[in-house]
Amino acid sequence: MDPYPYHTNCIGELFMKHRNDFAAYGQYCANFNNAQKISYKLQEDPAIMELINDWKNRVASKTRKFLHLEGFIISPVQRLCKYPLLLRELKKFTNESHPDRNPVEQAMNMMEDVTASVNETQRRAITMQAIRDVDNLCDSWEQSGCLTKQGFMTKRGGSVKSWNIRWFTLSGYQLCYYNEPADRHPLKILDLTSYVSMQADADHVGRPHAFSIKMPDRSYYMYTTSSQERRDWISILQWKFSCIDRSRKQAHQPFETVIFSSLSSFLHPKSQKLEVKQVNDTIIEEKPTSPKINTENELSPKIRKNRPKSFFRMSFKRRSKISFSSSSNHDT
Amino acid sequence: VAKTPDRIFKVILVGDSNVGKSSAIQRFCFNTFSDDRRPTLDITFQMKTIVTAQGVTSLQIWDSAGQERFRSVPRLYFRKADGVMLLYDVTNETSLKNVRSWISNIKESAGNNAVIMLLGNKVDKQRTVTWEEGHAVALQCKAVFLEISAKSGENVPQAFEALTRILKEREEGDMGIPPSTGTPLGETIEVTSNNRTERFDVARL
Repeated sequence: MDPYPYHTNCIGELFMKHRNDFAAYGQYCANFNNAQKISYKLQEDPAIMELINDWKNRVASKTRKFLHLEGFIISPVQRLCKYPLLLRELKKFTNESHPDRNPVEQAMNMMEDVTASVNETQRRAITMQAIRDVDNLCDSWEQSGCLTKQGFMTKRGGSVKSWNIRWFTLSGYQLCYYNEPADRHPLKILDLTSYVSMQADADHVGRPHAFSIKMPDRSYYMYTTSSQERRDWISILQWKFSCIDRSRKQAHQPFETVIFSSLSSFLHPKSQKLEVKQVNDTIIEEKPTSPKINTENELSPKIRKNRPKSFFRMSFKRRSKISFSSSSNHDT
Repeated sequence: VAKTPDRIFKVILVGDSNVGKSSAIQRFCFNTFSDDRRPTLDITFQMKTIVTAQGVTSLQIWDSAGQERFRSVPRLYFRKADGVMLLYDVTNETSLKNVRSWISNIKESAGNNAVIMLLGNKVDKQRTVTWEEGHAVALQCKAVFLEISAKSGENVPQAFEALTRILKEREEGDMGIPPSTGTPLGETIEVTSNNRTERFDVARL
């Protein structure tokens, strides 16, 4: 007696039953590049390597040896591509009269469609990545300080509301001001990466050609000697802020952060604190009620377009329900 | 006794369906061959350790069965690949024609760093593609060229060993370490096939 009467097995049916579940592969493959990057990062961590080695020793056999974490994560991709091959073979050896004959053929066609759609998803992901790479290239060019500006502006004091002429330099993401251009030490360095908002037209302070930058500590009011000069400052600052916005957005992409932070915090409880703090910072800065609204018209359309997305991402991370109230805000 | 490798290289086998990618892996790793012409269903990765005068090197060999129809999915493989073995079938002219499109796909995603090796498989059969035709394509694509037979085993170990040497020597060259033994960088590696001696300029690759 054969304990496994395989002639009654209906594999095709089984595939058809789970046809919708195969869609998960599309997302898996689209995320693969990120997952691979993370796997390289994790391999530098001795604690994680120990876990992996332990696991490997248990699952590795003579014919299946892995040395890298990426070997594990590519397996589903390889398997997916083999399903059509497997089913084609199965069809060849399934008798016409077998009850599974039609389902096997259906399953074969279905899996060919699935692999084709995964390929299509992957093609799109590659295109998106190419766009992002160009973006990052611009960013690194930007951070290298190629785009700089300096000049005199008159700045209002913080506690004493008097106006003083200062020498401003903008390089990378640092805006510094000095008493004199020849001074070696700046009076203050503003780290633009923590900016809250910018107001391109602040003539209400009573001076012509004025603008303001809102930082977490206070707002800075400056005015220039001509409207052309102000336009130059505003356009370079807007460019910097749009780069900052983009990197803020990228730093909080759900997949990488959630997976990576949860893994690293699992192993290093200290870093968890840091992660939480960063999340809170973003929430404070990006709250729909923040004074950012009054600069809405001044900022480039690109920034405005991106904002609802970041709200959504943020809510994803917090697993709370704050996101959709903000969409009306966007429409205004 | 298993030795710990100093370096692991990731090597990927690509090429049209039925050119013998999996057979080449099977021949190299287990020195066996099965003639039943079934597409690959089982092999996914193989590790093979090569001991040379320069030290112990491991090749992590990735098979790409089932992905021949696609252009984007195989790209997942190419990233961070150290070497790519591109196979064609010397009894099938179309498989050689498709080599160019494979090369462009590899270069777009793996960058120019991956060493590409063009292998004409199935020389044990009646060929329709000559050695010269394959060699000309390899020259244009700046690929190392060899003809092999997974069935008879001809040149299969040589192909993998040559790739390992090129990878190793190029890496040592990149790190500024003068190669203590073996071929000095900028000179040639010789591989003998069919009584022809192929010379590969390491620096050119």
